[in-house]
Amino acid sequence: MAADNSQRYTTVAIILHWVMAAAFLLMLASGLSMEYLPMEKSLKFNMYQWHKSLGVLLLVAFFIRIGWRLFHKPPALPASIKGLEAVAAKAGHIALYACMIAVPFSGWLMVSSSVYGLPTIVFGWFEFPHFPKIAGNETISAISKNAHWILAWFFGLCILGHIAAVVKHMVIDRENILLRMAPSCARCKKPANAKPE
Amino acid sequence: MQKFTALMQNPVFRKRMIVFGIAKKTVMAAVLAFSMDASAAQAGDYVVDYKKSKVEFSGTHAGNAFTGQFGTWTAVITFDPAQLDTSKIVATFDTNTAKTGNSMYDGTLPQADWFDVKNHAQATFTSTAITAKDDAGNYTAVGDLTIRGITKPATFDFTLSDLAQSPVTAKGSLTLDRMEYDIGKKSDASAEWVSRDIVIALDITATPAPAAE
Repeated sequence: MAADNSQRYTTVAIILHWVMAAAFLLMLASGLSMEYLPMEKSLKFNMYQWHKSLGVLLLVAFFIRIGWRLFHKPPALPASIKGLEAVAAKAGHIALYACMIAVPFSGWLMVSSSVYGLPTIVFGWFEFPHFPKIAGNETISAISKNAHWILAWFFGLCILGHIAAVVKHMVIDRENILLRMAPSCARCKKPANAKPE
Repeated sequence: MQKFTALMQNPVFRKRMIVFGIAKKTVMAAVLAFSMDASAAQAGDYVVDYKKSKVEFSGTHAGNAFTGQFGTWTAVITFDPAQLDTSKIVATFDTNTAKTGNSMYDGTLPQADWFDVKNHAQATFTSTAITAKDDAGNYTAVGDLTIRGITKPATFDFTLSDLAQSPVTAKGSLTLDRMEYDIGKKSDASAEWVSRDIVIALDITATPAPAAE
């Protein structure tokens, strides 16, 4: 089946998807490194600050993305995806969106309630405020730390599931579903009745 | 107000007031004369030139050295090598003016677990004894250092320039254990990030106060 533009996400949605995908992968990689890898103290500290900075940008990016999503209907699922598969696709995407806000938000709560009280200075550029009135709150600190850890792992699993689904459609169903979200699609721009060259 | 007017018109009261007034004036004059004497510079008083002086603090964080300064502080210094018994240093530091130039640190220092500037706006040092180590201008000051409302004895060595030449400079340093003052006690008691040893370096320039008239 040749995809046409009606089956593609809007350019803005595509850009948001890939930029945020890259950013979240960096966040997972840096988060896991800080948690599990032995590391020089200064590198670890800088990585924390960098992780916090990117987290703030992702928190903001979520609202841009959800705003865009609300006003731009995504292309309908391919006709081949139906029944349980369609339900799973819907649930998967809802879970991904939920993680996109829950993970950065729990991180923000974690930083704001931390006994360290370190400010978040986004890439040395501007100070992002702490969540109000929870500075040094040990209960919220403990809860948000656990939540951030669990949610990040859950997010990682959702992303794996998301990628596995794409592979399944491409390999098993032999349907190039990736074209819907591909950065560019030369074929898509041609009229459907164009003769092959 | 009416009561007051009535009182003022009472002749007995007025008479008493006049006597009291004279007595008050006499006392006032005496107090004034005394206080003028007391406020006049004593031999050995020094006036700090804050523009040429600094109080630095330094330590390490995550293995990296950091240095900061107190922006606002005052020191009252009476010093006479011939009269060390009456020599004294009283210094006060505004904790919210401690700056390192690193916005990350400067955002953290005023907080409750560090300087706690809301509850403890000032840190103070009051000397209890100053002794000479040698004849070359090296001295030791012993005193009480108060940070976050916690007072501990503190001792530091300092070196003076030639007292015969004004201005006089004093250089010295002391190393304190921040945990003695509960600085960063909740955040980092084990000094995983911030060193427990913090060095306070003094570089003071002062001139002898004009002698009393």
